[in-house]
Amino acid sequence: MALAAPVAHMLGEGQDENASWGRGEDYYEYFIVDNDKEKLEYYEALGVILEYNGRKCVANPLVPDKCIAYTKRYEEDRFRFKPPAASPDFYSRCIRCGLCYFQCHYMGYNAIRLASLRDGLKAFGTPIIDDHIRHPCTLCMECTRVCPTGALERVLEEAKERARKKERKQGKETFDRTIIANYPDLVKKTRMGVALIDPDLCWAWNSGDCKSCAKACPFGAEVFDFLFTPWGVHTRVKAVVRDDGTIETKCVGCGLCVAACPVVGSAIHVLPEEEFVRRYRNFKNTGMSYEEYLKKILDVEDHDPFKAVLRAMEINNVFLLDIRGIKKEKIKTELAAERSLGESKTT
Amino acid sequence: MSSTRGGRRTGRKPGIARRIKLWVRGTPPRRKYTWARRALQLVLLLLFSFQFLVSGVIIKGSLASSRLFEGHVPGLSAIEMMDFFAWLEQAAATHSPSAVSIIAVAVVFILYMLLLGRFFCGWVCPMDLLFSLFERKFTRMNAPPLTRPHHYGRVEGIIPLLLMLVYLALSVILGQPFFTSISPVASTTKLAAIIQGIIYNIPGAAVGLALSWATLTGIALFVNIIAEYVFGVKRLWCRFICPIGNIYGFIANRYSPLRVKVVHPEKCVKCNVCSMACPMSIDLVYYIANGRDIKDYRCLHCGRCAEVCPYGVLSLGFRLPKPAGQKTGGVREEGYWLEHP
Ligand code: SF4
Ligand code: SF4
Ligand code: SF4
Ligand code: SF4
Ligand code: SF4
Repeated sequence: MALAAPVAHMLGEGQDENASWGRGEDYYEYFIVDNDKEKLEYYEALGVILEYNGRKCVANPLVPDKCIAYTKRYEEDRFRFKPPAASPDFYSRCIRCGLCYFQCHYMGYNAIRLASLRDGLKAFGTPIIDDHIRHPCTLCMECTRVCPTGALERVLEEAKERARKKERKQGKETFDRTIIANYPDLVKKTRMGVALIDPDLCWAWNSGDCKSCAKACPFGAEVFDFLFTPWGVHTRVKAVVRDDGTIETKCVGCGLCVAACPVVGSAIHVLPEEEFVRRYRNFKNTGMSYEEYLKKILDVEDHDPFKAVLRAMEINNVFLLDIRGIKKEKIKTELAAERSLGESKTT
Repeated sequence: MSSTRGGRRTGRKPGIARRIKLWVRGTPPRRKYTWARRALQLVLLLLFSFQFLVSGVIIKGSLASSRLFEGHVPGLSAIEMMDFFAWLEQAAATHSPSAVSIIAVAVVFILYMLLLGRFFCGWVCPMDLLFSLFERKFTRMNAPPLTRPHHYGRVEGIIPLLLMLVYLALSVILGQPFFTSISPVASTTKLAAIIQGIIYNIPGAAVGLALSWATLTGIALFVNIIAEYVFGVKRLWCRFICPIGNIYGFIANRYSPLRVKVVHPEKCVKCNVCSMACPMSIDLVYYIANGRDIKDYRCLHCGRCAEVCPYGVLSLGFRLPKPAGQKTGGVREEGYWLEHP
């Protein structure tokens, strides 16, 4: 590694295996209203305008002295992931044969691409998953089946084996990929990253009733949690960060939820574990953890209806509908949601 | 340059059509072995490159590791194959031989290490096909020392071995299979990834990928061409740099049943046509005069020598190792190869 680093450095970006495609440190964007006179006047009247780097931005009602921050579009906040169940010594094991890539293609998912020299010498030729919106991994686990070297571990076979032992099932098996979720150690092995919902962008945290991500997730309610309130079906990924930095969750970071989210640029992003912990502990640079941030929202909704309306309807929904846009065709069932979209901007 | 037509020297340059015809025919003419192996190399390359047209049921993957007849082999999910040197490098990088790949590597081991020797290079590897497009097909005996047919000396014979050790050491140091990651042999057969990437608009980097792989293959080709035309070393890449073929050469060529056999040593007139046609600069007359089968580590089992010999001295085929000391016959004539400066 010591020798490869300078060479890899010469070859350009991406020595860090989990390097983000995003530019710079800041993965958030702000609600800047400089160029929109109408909005500027409106928010000035509401008294929620702040200065940010000499520009005018809208404040966060939960943290009035800070601009409201939204997770950037997926295209600017995406990461490179190894395929599911990559072994800890993945780069030593992988012989860059491309079988996983071809298999993923034959399954019709195209989630994997092979790294080129631009991804760094270390990663060159290895499989990379980095386009969750167009080509999420479906956890079919075919790539792990064909990998000849154990660079991708055969966790599904392992899970089936254990289930078979436990249930003494004979003959044709009926297990599907979700049995992985029954075994925490296998979930940990399979994990590529962990999904994080931005409650300020999520339709369901701002008066909507969406659940698209939960419906798309192979593990469904095992991973997602819902809180039905008058302010929307608050949806979250069940994940707890322990003090030592380990994450307890059944989410494996496949990205199906990212693809399903109707918000343009997706309100739910899959993050590598370190990045997840970083954002979880200091969510949106407010000093609050993710948990505290969500609690604060619920608190405001319960005790301060004016602030809650300001947050959801006046600020977040405006950003969501006018600036980001919502992909109508991705919302399958919700009549109410469709009605409330009205003639708003759809992309 | 003058050409011969109907037994007479015409004294004129041959026309373009005739030159193309001559180029295709080869000098001396290509016969069954060359056509057969070119066909095999081309078919394999096409099968690899367009594997997605048949969803990979015939062959899938690349020459680093592949799967044959997925779902059509009774009792197996597919015939798995994995390059032997890749397995070694992986063992070095992970500090332990991988058990997962044991079947895949065993198939290759039996095929090449136990049966066919360096057959892989002459008949399967796409780089041989590529190199042959740009190299001189016939080397005169008075060419530069490393170009003309010669028996390998101690230094020449040790370089590929040392390089193999260097690759293994680098695999340990870098923690990744070193040569396998940058091997143009596997890269060239991964051409399908680029074609697929363009046709199916797979995320990112189809162009980056194409450039990366063209770079690897291009470097190998460039090095090889420069070595031959500037420094006078024929097939530098295959003789010294590439460990994939050399490991078969050094280990398997010594005993592999498939070999170039000296079948009629008494008929040899020492015309050296076989040596001059050999792409790996092997001095065949040395072996013929010694009455030994060709067990040179460089021999690709391409059969070119056998097919150009006008007297049928050599043939490519199977023969089990002879007991030590027993010779095929023939008389050794000391120093005859020194007659050609
Ligand atoms: S598990 Fe994901 S990456 Fe692997 S083949 Fe299936 S879709 Fe592709
Ligand atoms: S199948 Fe395994 S060894 Fe081959 S490229 Fe994929 S991860 Fe690497
Ligand atoms: S929450 Fe999203 S990333 Fe996690 S397992 Fe479910 S669909 Fe995949
Ligand atoms: S030595 Fe390497 S590049 Fe040359 S023919 Fe053999 S495998 Fe191919
Ligand atoms: S000795 Fe004969 S078979 Fe071997 S590489 Fe030379 S020409 Fe080919």
